[in-house]
Amino acid sequence: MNTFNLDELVGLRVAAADGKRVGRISELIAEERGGDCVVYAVRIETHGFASRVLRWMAMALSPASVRHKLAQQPLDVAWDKLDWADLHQPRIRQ
Amino acid sequence: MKKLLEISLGVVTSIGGFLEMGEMSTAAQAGAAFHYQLLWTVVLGTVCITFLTEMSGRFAAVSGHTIVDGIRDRFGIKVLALPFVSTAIVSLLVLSAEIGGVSVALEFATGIGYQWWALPVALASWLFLWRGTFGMLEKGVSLFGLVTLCFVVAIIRLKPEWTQVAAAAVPSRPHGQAATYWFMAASILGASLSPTLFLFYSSGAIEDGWDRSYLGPNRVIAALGMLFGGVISAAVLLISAHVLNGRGILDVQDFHQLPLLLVDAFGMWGFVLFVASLGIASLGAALEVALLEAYLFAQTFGWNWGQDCPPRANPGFSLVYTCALFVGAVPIAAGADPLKLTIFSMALTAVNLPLMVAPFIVLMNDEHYMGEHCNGPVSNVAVIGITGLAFLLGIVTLPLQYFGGT
Amino acid sequence: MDLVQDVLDKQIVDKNGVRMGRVDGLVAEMREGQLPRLVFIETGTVVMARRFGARAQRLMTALLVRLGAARKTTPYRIAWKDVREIGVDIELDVDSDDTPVHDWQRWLRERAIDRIPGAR
Repeated sequence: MNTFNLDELVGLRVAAADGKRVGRISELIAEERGGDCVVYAVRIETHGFASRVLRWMAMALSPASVRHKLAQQPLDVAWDKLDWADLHQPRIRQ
Repeated sequence: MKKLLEISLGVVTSIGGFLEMGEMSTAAQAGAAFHYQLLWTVVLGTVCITFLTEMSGRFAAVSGHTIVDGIRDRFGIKVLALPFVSTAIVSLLVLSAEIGGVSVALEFATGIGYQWWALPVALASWLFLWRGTFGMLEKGVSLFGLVTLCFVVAIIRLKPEWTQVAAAAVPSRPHGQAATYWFMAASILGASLSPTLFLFYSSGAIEDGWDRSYLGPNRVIAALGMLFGGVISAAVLLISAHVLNGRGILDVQDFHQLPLLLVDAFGMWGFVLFVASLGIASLGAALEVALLEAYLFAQTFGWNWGQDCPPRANPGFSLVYTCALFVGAVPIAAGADPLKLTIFSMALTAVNLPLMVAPFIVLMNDEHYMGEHCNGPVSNVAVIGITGLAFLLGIVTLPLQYFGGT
Repeated sequence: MDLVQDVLDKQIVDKNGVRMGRVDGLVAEMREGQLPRLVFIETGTVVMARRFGARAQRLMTALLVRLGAARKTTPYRIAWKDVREIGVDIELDVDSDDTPVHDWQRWLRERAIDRIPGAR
């Protein structure tokens, strides 16, 4: 069995096909398919730390009704759409 | 109603976590040096710790996690690592200070030097944790801790100018000695906001099996428990202002001056009451901080834990509090000044605070853990504002106090 | 299921409710032309160190060997099929006594704890 450590993917930088930085892997999305737990997509965090802190502060200081409007839309990319030739440097395929 | 009787968790957390050697020493020093002026820090500290404690209980009841457990869960080991290490180290210093508090009380009671008491105190604390259950600890400390109410009685007897007291509850700038003033503010805030307190409370809530039905009682318990500690701390400051500052003693140089505090109000009995209060409060704190270290390790690494289990069921957990108690006794046994150690560890606590509070407050706003019980803007502002203040004061004044010039 | 949020760093609990470490690592099988599948969850001091980088992992391994605990350097792997439920904790179909995760605690119990009166 050819195995690798999934946890090592978390936090990896993802680049677009042209080399531009897209963000970092923040989540691995999986589901049960035919008795196996299959990883079918990754979530990419596109905003930097400072931006996320500011967004969090804005949400924390606003009343509950407003918070949902400030929440970030996640960027989920299918596993197949990434080039995993180098497991440490994933790239989005063209 | 039965749930409200669990007020003992609130009171014990208050006695051990809030009112202990740290709070008493810093409040006494502040009263001596600045009369009533620093009362606002006690008020601010009480307000903030009430929010933090309520949040801590709410988090445990709704999410089923303790705070440390939740931080590792949500953020992973890489984020938990630094607060874990820093809190473990700072808590060890605080544990030394508490063992020092009990040792000092025993010196006052017997005349035998505090250094000789350090190891026996550690041993007695260890025995209590080894053989006792969490319930025993809670109820025992709460019950005996009620002796600290003598401070409230004392300040009423001393008949202060209550209008002046009220005026001091609002922040004010010092008339001189600014660096010392702000350093003391940092120490009092550090003593009030010790992470030991809210981390312990969440572990206690899980030990006591709290669920969502405890949310209402939790608010009452947190508020009353912390109010109890806050009022007594305020009383210590006011008494010190009267007894020491009023006599021109502007600095508590030597911890031997501390028992004087209650003599004006109670005569000879004042000495006894002071010694009992200091001893019991510090012992409660020592037990809690030792347990807190064990909770910290067990919850970070996923070991089994629980004070109600016999020690052999959870060797790792038992090993941590055992080591913590005996390592904590060393500085006191070696002759470190308990008062100086206490003030220092309290300021250090203020500096360490954001490392634990930051991830905690993110958790309190995370719907995944809190469901519809997330924090509102008021709790967030109160906690972020006051801990931010404590941190700033600590980080600025600590170096000045210990390494700065004249 | 979000693996980082729902599995990684979660508390592992055996079939009797006994806590037995946390999910320190996730092992997947890379398959030709197919999506990877999760095969093991890992727990262990060295796995935890690996999360901080390869150098941290080497240091931890060396430290454990120096302390005479070379056995602890191999991570304990739990097959994904042995995971019964994912909720507040990760519940397994396994009894922790049948696993090596508590070996060091058992050692501690025999060597130190049981020798002190009142441990029961």
